[in-house]
Parts: sequence; C-alpha cells; structure tokens
Amino acid sequence: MDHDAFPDPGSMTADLPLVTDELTLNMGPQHPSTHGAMRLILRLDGERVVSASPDIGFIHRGMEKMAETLTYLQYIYLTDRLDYLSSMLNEWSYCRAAEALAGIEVPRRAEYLRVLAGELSRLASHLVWLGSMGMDLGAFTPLTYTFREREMILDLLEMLSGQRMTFNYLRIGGVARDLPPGFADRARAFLDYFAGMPDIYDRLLSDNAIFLARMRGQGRLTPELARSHAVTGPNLRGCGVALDLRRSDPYSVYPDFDFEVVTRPEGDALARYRVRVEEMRQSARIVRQALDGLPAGDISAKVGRVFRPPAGEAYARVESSRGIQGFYLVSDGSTQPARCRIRVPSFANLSVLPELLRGVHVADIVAIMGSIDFIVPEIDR
Amino acid sequence: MNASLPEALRAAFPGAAVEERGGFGPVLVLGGGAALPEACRALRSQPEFVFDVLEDYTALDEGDRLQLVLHFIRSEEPAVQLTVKAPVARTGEEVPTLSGLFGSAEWYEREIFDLFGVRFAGHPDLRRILLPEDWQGHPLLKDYRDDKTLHRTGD
Repeated sequence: MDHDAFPDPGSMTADLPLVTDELTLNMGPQHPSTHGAMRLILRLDGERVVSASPDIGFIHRGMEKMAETLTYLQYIYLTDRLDYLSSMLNEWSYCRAAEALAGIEVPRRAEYLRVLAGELSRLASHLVWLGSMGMDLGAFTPLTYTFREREMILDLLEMLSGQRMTFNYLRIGGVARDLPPGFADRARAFLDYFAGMPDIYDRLLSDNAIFLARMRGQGRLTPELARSHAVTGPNLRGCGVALDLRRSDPYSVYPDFDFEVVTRPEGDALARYRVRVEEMRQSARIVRQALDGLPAGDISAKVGRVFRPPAGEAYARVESSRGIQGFYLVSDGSTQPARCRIRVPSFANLSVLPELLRGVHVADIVAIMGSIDFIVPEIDR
Repeated sequence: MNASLPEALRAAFPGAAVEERGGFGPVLVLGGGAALPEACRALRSQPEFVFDVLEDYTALDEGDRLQLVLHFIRSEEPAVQLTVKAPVARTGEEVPTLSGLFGSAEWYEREIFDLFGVRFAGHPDLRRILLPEDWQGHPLLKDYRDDKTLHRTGD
C-alpha cells in the first residue's frame, strides 16, 4: 500500500484560519429537558449560543375558546389541565374569578380546605421540579426521593378529591367534599415525616460541588429584566423582588397564616433553586396551620344548580407554584362565559428565556431552562 | 390600595375615562389603541404610578369592535393594580406595539395577533405564536367558524 498517496493532514490546515459556520439546531419538540412538547430553535457558534428562540403551541387545545361553549361549572375540570402539577391552584383562580362575577362569599371552612389543597399542590409541584432539575443535570437519585414524597401528597389529595392529579375538587362557592375520615391524622403524619426531608435534599444537591458549579451564576435574571417580561413566582423572588400574592395582594384566608415570603438576591439558577426548596418548608408550615386551625362550618356557599352570573367582568389571580396565575372572565349574563382569558405564569416566564440563553454554553441550556420551571400545557393552553 | 389613584389617573389622562370597580383596581379607558404607548410610558415611569409590570395583555371581541385589555401591577409595595382598555376596529386598524416598553408585550401581542388578528405596528417579530403559521382565521373572534377540519394550506 502506497502511504505517500495520502497528504499529510497537518499540511492541509496549517495555513488556514479556523472558520466555524453558524449552526441552527432544533432542541425539541421532543426533548427530555423541555418537559413537554416545546421546541427551542438554537443558533450556535461552536459551543456558544448566538440566539435561542422558543417555539410553542404544539399542544394548544384552544382552552380559552372552549370556555365559550361550556357552562361555568363544566369548565372547572378543564382548568386542571393547564398546570397539571398544581391543578388545585388553577381551579382556585378560576373559581375566584367566577365568585367575583357573582359576588359569592366563600365560607371560612371552604377557604381553609382550599389553602390546604392548594399548598399541598404547591409542595407536590416543587417536588417534581426538584427531582427533574437534578435529573436534568445528571443526578438521578434526588428524583427517586422527591417522587416518593410527592406520591404521598397525591395519596392525600386523592383521599380528598378522588383523583391523583386532575382533582376537580373546587367548586364555585366552595369545595366539593369535606375532609374524609382519617385525613387530618394522615396529613399530620406526612408533615412529621416530611419535616426533615428538605435537609436531605439539600445534602443531596446543595452540597454537591458539581451541582453548585452548574447552577451558580447561570441564567442570571436582573429585577429589571424580570419586571419587563412580567416574570413572577420563585423566578422573580429569586432576584430579590418580594412579590407573592399571598402577602402582597392577600386573598382567601392567607392573612391567618404565619409564613415567610422567600427571596434570594442573586438572580441565578442556584437562587431559584434555593427559593423553591425553602418554599417547600413554608408550604408545609401553612398546611399544618390549616389543619390545626380548620374552622367548623359549611364547605360551600349556597349556589344554585344553574350558575348564571350578572353581566360584568372579573380578573382574579392566585400565587401558583410558578407565579401569578389568573382568570379574566367576562359575563354577558348567560350560563357561559363570553370570554375566558387565562393568565399563566409560564408564558411570561418562558418569554425571558432567549435573554438568559444568549451567549451561554450549550451544556448550560438545560440547567437554565430547568431552573425557570415552566410547564408546557399552561403555556399552550 | 392607593385611594387617590383614580384621581391621579384623571389628572394625568384628561382625555380618558376612569372607572372604579371592585376587584382589580381602577379601569382606565383610552380613546383608542394609538394612545397606548404614550399612556403606558407615563404609567410605567411617573412616580405617582410606577406600574412596572405588564402582567397580562389580551383582547375581547365586543361585536362591533375589539377591546384591548391590559392588566398592570406594581412589583414594589404597595402593590397596586390597574386595568387599561383601548378599543380598536375589528379589521384594518394597526395598533402601535408596546414591545419596546415591556418585554412581556412581545409575546402577548403575538398571541393577540394570532387569536384576534390585531396587527401591531413596529413589532419586531409579528408571527402566530400558538397556532401553525398557515392557519386560516383568528379563533377567538366571535364570528370564527370551526368546520372541524384543519385549515392547512401548506405542504
């Protein structure tokens, strides 16, 4: 074999400057780190992101249009399908908007049950986020812990509503069922068990040098950028802005409860992580207080079988796991809404992602995306 | 809740109507979509308002016209809310974009364009956002008819 027939590789490139082409890469719509069907169109220069452009709408179901063809009561179960990890909170803001339209006063016991269900939902949602955040960065073990605890919460919520995830538990004017026998004891046993868990998660992740190195300083969000993009929830509180509707625009019976609004000043992925872990502790505190302070009384206001609010409009929000979640309902006096606008936190939270990804390494995209904690069904609606 | 907010609004926007109702703050009703950028700039920067977060931006189909509805909040204490409304014609009227003032407006306006057909002048990237780009019609208009088939012209 004549080896001289092959030119020396060094002689081919020695005189040429290194030129790289810009590469356009589709990340998703089927990609484990997008947590649903969402496409990220990346323009890459080597290992650097030149621009990232989210492409959404793959699971758009026309939920705002659907509301115009259903009665107010028929729509509650659909709200579960927005942010399916914290369904109770979607139902809550919807029912609050409908109650504002009709001027319905919700009994205190029902409000306590809503807080109980809502905070358990938030806790379950943060647990899913924590597990998948670790897994996005290659740490599989935390997921096995957080999903174990989350399953206990789902068991509790199933006792309450009959469903694991799509609860359909809230009603306009109250809730569907009172606490089942044994629920309070079981919930307290869970809280006792759970009290030490955030420390264990901390030891699994926060003390892990690789995790810290991949989270610290990544995806730094400034308060100005966050406000401009209407970023809310733990993402906003992770850059030092203490906006939490449970405190800043108190609704329901939240003034009765003792809890802290968690903020961190840094604005990076690690700060968002720390805010959510601490929020789990706070949610557990609220659940215990709701169990201890549960007043006697009705679980629902008197609402007729046909719900027909007077003409008008109402915009009601709650502090969901991911930020401000609201329903803007317009009534024309019939049994169906004339317009049902759904304000979801993930839509605005995701809109800031191109700003956070510009110039970062490809390997950090997943960490930054995971730290934003968006959920696709509520973005696409 | 700032009790003098409606008065401050009336003083700052003499040409607009201010309605007070329970719930989500007062409602500032502008004469039309063209007045939005100037009003929003004032609402964001004047010290008596400082509505620095455009929480939501959507539209209503009121039959003879469309109504743009903006929900503002203040991110600092005291938390104050404000609704701004601006009517626009059903077809043909271009509304100046707010995307230079609020980052959130860019996607909200794309959604209003997608689902209501309102065009925003000066928008950097006015494309459909939820529906496929070759979709026909704007589903949240009341006269939209769904014939249960996909309106696809491409491929």
